[in-house]
Amino acid sequence: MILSVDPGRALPVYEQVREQIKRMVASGTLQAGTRLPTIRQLAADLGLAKGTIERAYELLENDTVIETKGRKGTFVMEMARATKHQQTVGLAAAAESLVVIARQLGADESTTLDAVRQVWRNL
Amino acid sequence: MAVAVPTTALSVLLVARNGGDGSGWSVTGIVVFVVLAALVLVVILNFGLQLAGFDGEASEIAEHLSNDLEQRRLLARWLGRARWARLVGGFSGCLIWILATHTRGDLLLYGTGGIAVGATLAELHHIRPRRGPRTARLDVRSVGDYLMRQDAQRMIGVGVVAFAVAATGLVATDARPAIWWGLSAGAVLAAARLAQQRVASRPRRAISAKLTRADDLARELAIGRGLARPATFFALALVARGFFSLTPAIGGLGELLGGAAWLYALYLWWHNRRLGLDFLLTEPRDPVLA
Repeated sequence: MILSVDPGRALPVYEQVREQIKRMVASGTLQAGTRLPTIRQLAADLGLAKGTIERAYELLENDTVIETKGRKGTFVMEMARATKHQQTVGLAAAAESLVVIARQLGADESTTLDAVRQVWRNL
Repeated sequence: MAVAVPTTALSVLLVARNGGDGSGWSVTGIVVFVVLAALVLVVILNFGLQLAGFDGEASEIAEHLSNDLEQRRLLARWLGRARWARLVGGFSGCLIWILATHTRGDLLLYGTGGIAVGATLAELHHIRPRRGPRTARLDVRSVGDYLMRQDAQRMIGVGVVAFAVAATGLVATDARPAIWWGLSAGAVLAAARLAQQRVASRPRRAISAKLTRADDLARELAIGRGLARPATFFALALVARGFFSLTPAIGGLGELLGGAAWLYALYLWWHNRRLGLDFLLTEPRDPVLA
């Protein structure tokens, strides 16, 4: 389960984290009961301030997506699953962004797909 | 080795010079001297190269840990850094032993102290976050995932004994130094625990599964062989001094327990010297990361 944030985007970083964790829980990639990394660890891994992840976790708790059980850690809660259609729509939107960027860079289809395969293998 | 070979060479030189009966240089003596001089040179060169950071064995050990080139590279980098830091730390400890105590102090205490400090410093490096987009896996990493039960039990055991030594020193009016020896041992173990937590939570961006496995192995080696064991044998050497200083209060038992702790510290150091992985060079086995 991979998180990716870009501090250069207009959307605040804590919102990017919140959005992605919500998406993973809704799609079932992150199952109920899964333990999430500590705020300190995730902040260090992403090279962010602890407060940023703290805010994201707080918002996710308010959304009842995750819950913190004291010293035991933070866990994913049961949540309504996204439908197959919602998943397809999400993937199509991400693919569209990629294709737009690839065309702006002047890359052809096979180069773009090669890049996708390369990243797929490395992550 | 570095001390034994030059000493032997010097003895041989004296014998060769006198020809055994004071009549000058003997041929056999000269040959033995030349061979030993070459050996001394090799030992000094080898030690100098290791101090300068050239450690060919690190890559060789990494080859026995993994078959994959990328994994080997990551492991060899960690092995090289950790082994170098321990060597420099231990060497510095021995220098301090010579300069500060004029060889009258406890060499094991200074040597293991240097190794423990060097090993800890090797793990405290900071990784700067990349600019731009960053990725991370939602994996949970804690010290418990990397620390072997035996190492954890040894740390706890030595911690309990250190506490007992400090407490006894507090009760016995004529053995006050034991308090400080016990507390120092406890502080060493606590510092090692903090360093272990730092290693476990050290930043890791999203990397491939095979590199993640190699990174996990490097963290396991760092937390166990790199931090737990040096802290344990150094703390034991401190505890040994604590027992010795309890002798006025508990008599010969202090000497006995101190001697036992000292020997156990020596045993642990011997089994963990150079990270205790040199056996892979002489007894090759299937790579840990297949």
